[in-house]
Amino acid sequence: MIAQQLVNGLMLGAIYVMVAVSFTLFFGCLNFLNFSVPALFMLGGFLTWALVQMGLPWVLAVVGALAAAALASLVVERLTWRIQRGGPPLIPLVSSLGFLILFENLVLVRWGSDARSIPSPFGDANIRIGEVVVGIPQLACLVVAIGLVFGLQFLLARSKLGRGIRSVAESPETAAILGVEVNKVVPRLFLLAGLFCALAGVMFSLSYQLVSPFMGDQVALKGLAAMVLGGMGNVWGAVIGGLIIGVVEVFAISGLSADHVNVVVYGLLLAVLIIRPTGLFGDAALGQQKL
Amino acid sequence: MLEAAHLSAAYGPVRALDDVSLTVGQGEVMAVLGANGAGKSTLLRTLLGLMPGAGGSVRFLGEDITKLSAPERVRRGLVLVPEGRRVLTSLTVEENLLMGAYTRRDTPGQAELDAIYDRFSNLAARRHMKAGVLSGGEQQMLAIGRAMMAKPKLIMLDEPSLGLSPRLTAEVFALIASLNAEGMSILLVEQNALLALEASRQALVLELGRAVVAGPSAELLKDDRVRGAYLGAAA
Ligand SMILES: Nc1ncnc2c1ncn2[C@@H]1O[C@H](COP(=O)(O)OP(=O)(O)OP(=O)(O)O)[C@@H](O)[C@H]1O
Ligand SMILES: [Mg+2]
Repeated sequence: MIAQQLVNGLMLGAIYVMVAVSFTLFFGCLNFLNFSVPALFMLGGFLTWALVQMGLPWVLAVVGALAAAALASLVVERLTWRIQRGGPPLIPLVSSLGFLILFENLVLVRWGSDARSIPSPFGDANIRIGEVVVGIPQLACLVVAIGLVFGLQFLLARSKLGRGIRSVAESPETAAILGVEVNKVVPRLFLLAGLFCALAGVMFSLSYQLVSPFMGDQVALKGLAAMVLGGMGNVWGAVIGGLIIGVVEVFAISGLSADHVNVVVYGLLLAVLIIRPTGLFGDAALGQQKL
Repeated sequence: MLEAAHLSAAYGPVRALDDVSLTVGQGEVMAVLGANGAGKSTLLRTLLGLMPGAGGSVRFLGEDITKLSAPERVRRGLVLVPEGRRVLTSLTVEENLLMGAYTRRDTPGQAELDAIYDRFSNLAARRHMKAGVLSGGEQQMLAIGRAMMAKPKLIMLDEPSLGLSPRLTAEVFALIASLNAEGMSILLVEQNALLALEASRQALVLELGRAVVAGPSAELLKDDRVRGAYLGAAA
């Protein structure tokens, strides 16, 4: 059954990968630890449920939820990053934490705190490969997540927008001298990174069929851990970190118990950081030019 | 082609530029001299539109660009090679060149890149290396090549010889002369006053943010105040 656990772990890890990549975009490009990420994740997942509840077909519900999360991400850009950039980096961090609590509680006020079950459009369809059962939605998540990360890397590496983002990441002043409109590039980055974690929220809700206003907290904390484990600010580090955490989590549940999960996951994280303080693929200059 | 009138700029309470006017003619080289902190870089940043709250007016190619943003000015061909080169060290040499063309609406072709590589053969061999590994001289060439990718009409160079050996300094000045011979207008900020005056037709001396001397470079070379303060000769 080791193969089964491995597959389950990778599929759970795909969600962490998406969240970790989102954190990494904010941190690697803007040196901004954006704590509104868990809320964007939740908005993606929860609003999908809410819109389905209101009678929308699920495709439209997903689009609507993603649009709402993207808008929320732009609000965070406008009201934290743009206003507070250049000052102490703790200030946008704390503001984004404020937005996390605000968004979660707005949802709480409107829909209550109960966890809701969301019907999956895929049912519990699965395929069997020998002994191993692979859920279709989870498999779709893994494929989509890996595909999107490759797409993102291609965008960053090859496109004009990607070069603009990397220039702003290295030096907003130099980018401005070259005629890059920092105030146009940064919102696009917020949009991109916000959509990444909102889509992770959608995937999570469709795979595990459960949403709640605080669903982002646990998942995003693991996404954050995945980013740190992989090496802050490095997209491939975030991918490997996310997959490792997913696999370790699943093995901890089946080998020990659900209660042990966080002890094992975060114990591993701390152990890695004690041996390699910059994470698995990071190097010394934290938060700078690491895309 | 560039006419600036009554420019002023400040960093918070610190006044860095005070009522400076200048005119650079088509195809002309103008030099800006001044001691450290005189406001030379601030003048160029103001001309590019990077100083919030700057006063005065700027015309470029017959158009009032005072209210235009830096990207709009770059797109019109007013381009800055900043002090300290400021290459993007985490991007490759070629990506730096492409960033020079960022404001252009068309996509620069391979022929344009090749033209830059022909001029700067050191860059050609290193086109796929990170710009951070280049030597100081190579970085200066890259910064100038990057500016050329914007299809500039007027290049502003902020202390291009800073930190370079005499041989490389001579190379940079030879490059300035050849760009100018091709018709490029140039606004040159330099610490090396003698070289700058010899390379330019007009010159302007800044002191504490004010223009204290201005005129043809040949006359400034003979001016006692300029000779005393900037050419190391007894006044
Ligand atoms: N970012 C800044 N914040 C505050 N003050 C600044 C800033 N940049 C420059 N100044 C001040 O403005 C004045 C003019 O600076 P500027 O850089 O334009 O001088 P400069 O003539 O280019 O000097 P240098 O030859 O050393 O490059 C100086 O007094 C400087 O201290
Ligand atoms: Mg200067």
